[in-house]
Amino acid sequence: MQSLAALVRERPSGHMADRDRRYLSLHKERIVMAFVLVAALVLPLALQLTGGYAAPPRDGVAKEGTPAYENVQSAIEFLKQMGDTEEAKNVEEWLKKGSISSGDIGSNGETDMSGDITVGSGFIDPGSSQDKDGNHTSIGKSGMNDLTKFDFISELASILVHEKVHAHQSTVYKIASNMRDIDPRYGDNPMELDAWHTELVALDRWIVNMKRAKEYEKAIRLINQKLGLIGELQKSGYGSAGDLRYGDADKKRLEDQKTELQQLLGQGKTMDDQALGQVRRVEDEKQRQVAEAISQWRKEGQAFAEGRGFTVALGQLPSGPAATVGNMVVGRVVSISLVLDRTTSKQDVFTISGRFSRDGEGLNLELSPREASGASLSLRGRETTVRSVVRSPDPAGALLLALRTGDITYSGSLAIPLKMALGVAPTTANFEVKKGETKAIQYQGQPCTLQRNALGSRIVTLPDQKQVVAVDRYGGEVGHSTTGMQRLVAASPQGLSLSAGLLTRPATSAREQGCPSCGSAMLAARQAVSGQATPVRSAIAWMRGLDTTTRLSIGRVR
Amino acid sequence: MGKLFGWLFRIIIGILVLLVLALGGLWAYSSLAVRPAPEEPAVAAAANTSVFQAMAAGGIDNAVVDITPERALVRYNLPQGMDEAASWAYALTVLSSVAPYSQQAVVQIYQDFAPKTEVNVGMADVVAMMEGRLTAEQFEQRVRIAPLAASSVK
Repeated sequence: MQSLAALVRERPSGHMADRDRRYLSLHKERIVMAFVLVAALVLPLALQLTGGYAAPPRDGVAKEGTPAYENVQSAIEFLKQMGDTEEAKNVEEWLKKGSISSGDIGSNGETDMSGDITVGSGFIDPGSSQDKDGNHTSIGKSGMNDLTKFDFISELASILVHEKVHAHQSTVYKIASNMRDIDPRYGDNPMELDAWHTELVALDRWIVNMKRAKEYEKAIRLINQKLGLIGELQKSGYGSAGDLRYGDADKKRLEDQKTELQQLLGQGKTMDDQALGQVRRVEDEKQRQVAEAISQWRKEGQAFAEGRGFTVALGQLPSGPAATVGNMVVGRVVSISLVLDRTTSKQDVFTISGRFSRDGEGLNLELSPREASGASLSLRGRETTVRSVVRSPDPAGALLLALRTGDITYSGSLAIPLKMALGVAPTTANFEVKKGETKAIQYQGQPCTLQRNALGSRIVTLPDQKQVVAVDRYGGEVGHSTTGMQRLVAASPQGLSLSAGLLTRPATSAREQGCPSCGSAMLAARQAVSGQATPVRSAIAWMRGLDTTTRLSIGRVR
Repeated sequence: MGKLFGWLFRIIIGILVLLVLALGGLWAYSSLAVRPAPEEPAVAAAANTSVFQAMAAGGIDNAVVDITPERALVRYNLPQGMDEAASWAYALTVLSSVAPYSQQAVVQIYQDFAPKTEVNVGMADVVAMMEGRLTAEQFEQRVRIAPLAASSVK
């Protein structure tokens, strides 16, 4: 294809109107193509930069008249029948304001930072839901039998109960939960434990209701659903030791209930009031225990968040002349705001949230836009970097720095505006210090000093002047040491690796851990050498005579 | 009509060119913005901690440990009253127990932070001697014990 410049050069001279007409008729096709090409290249970028990117229709939103909308309405009706009127009202409100969508998300449901819920399309709008003529329709209008319809609707209701828990959780609580989840010191995820257990308790109530209504087949369907859910919870890894309130004993109890109901169905009998009362007492006690646990998780999550000062970290970064990049990456939840034009208050347009996923190349943050603007951003970084950023005393500043240094890379349609914003946004480099320089900083809420050691690593000296912490450029902890060890490193740093003199835990803790065989081995070595004319030979003789058990015991010191 | 269309065409082209130039300028500015250099972060090793812990339990505190596949190094201030040979024999035992995969075992002894003695020996020899596959005499010939210069780190 000829270039635009060549087309302009070819333009004939002479009487403008006639020649223009002749020129246009000769080159009309090429001009239109060139114009379309330039517009296609430049306009999306320009629109994105001005925050005016026209959002395509949100195909996944459950809109009135769609099968997904009708299915959610059926789930609301089901919740009302089960006596969960508050939940029903709440889901209805979300449905009416367009906050419930259908999506191919690879899970049952997801709730983003703004509280919008996406339910897996297979659950909210199953492809098998067809009328007698094979047309796609809602579950209620489909040709499915009543029990299959019940399965779909009750499962959709339970997913909505779960996701509604997330929709009402505070951002701080979510962030704290996800941080605990990736932090090996905790390993639990209070926000998920909360939602999963709320869903399981709801299923408990529904099962009892079905038994009372003598709808035993439906009760069995719900029991099957609950068994599957408990199995998934056990595999989820959301709880650390003793967190889960449902386990193998409950599965056994449910299997027994199922067998009993199947027998009643086979014999055409019904459950007597005494047996039903017993079931209710067991379920009531379970619900009380779970409610207590949920309340505890919420308290822990909140306290954890307050201890970390996340509310501060969620604030705006210092703004640049034309752009601001915020906010932070924490745990599995990511929220970044690109404010490209402060005068038009378009902050929300580019607010996105996402989750970490693991692949062979480290942690990958796959982000989905809050608004269906078609915008996307994917961040990628080494696990160590991401952890450092997450644990940094200034996560927002650390993320910004990581993006600028390229330690965290990015791609997607927001990559261009992000790159431009990074070019003008100021960086707060709290942990930047030159060799030989000593900087006063606040670390873990204490006044500390920061300097480079002889190997160039950043060393934070705690107020006791004995313990030191090695940090990376983001303030993330990479090791522990002591001032004495650092002095020995400085005595001759040549040839030492960056890890020299760094411990995985504080020296005090390593000393306390001890080594039962070490003290006696050293004592024996000293006795073997003491007063000998040839100490080297005596020392070697001691080494050679050392028993295997002692050596193995020293090798096992952790 | 044609004249009007021609001018309109020129204006649109002009606006697009200006837009491309402005975006290009901003792109170039953001590319040229000063970036901190990439950095290899230090990472504490579990083996370092094990050696530190075993040394501390043996009465030698604040030992600097640096373990790589090429050599396992431990550096410490000799505690007062402790025999130097007993200290390095113990240190070699610890290194060979925790990091037998390193090629070389290096013990650097300081006194009040001043370099004193360095003991250097192949790790395979330490292990072989302790397992009885090498005699004490053979080991003595292979171990190098020399005064430690201020900058003599292998």
